[in-house]
Amino acid sequence: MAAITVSIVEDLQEVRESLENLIMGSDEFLLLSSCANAETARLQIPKDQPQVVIMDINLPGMSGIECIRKIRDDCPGTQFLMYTIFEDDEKVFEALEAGANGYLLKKTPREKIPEALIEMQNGGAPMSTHIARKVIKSFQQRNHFNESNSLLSQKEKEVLELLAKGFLYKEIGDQLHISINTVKQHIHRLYEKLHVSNRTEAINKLYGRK
Amino acid sequence: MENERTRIATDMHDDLGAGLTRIKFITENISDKTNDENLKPDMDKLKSSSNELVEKMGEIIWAMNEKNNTLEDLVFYLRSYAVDYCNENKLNCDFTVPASIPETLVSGQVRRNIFLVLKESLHNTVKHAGASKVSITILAGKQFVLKVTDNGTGFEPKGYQLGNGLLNMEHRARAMNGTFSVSGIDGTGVRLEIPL
Repeated sequence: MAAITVSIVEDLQEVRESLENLIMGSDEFLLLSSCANAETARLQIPKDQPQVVIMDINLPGMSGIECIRKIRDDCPGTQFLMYTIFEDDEKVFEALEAGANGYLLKKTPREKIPEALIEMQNGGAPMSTHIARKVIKSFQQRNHFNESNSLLSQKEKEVLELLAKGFLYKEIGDQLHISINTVKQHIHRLYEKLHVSNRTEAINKLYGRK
Repeated sequence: MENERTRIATDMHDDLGAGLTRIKFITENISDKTNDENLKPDMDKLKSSSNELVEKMGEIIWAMNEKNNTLEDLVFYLRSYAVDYCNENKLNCDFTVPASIPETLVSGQVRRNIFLVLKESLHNTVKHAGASKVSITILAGKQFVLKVTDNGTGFEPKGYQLGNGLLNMEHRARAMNGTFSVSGIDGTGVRLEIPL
């Protein structure tokens, strides 16, 4: 299997270097670039076209969220993984709406990071209860959640609702008779639809539609 | 005033969070550079200490955030915390919530106190009770009721000192104009009841 190409955007030196060492020390990954701010990333990443970008949210100058907005369209094959301290942060949700495909907590033990990256490549993503509740509210506000106007499949709605009620992946899997892996893949698709929902609203606003 | 408080809290939250994260990563760097096994336990303590602080900060911020102010938000936050914590500590968790939850708003102070009562009682169960299963029930009518019962060793009502954070829990209950009771037969059970 070919190595997964990765770029890093992180301003804290210890954190950035730790990630660099981790990625470079593994045959499963290939480090293309490592940036300490969004301004550099904005120019470098579209040149490199990595498969995964590990992006810090709080960057000096332009934020990680703004950076994603600006380069996402230039990097169609790239997935953005937000590297964040807090799981229930407003900013994590904003990043997801702006186009991030998942998030990774900075407290994640180093050994578990490679598996999180591979999981994302394979179409899986995590979601906390808190984020699930915000995702539902977001879809509801845009009228993309109810019966007649739903962007989501039945299963996706069910997974999202159970997540929002504080269920573990294992509990959700048991209740819906699907594997934990399938739960994570539904979440991945939920994030993609969140992007679509966000865009649709933006376009509607632009054209003065309701 | 509220906005100023929230802004200060958010700044602190971000700065402290970043600082604690740096400590964790520097600790890992030190670990990498040394073969001294004697240092390992202290390094691990440093790492888990900083992770714990980050978690606590997250909990405070959740309670302070006005966007999380419905009873429903609280109930599902409690559930999420409880099942996660029980899962990590190999405790079987049975969590019952009401079929329909009234659309009541709950202040940040109350959300924080209720959460801390749940947290404290679960920690007690793990630390002292020798239990394999814990049942948590939430009722929400005119009163908010939280019951946490484990199948552990329980305690003698006469000889039981109100230690183990139980005094704390009682204080929190009173601060919310509510009541708190504990029973030690067939395991340990705590009950928090507060008016909504």
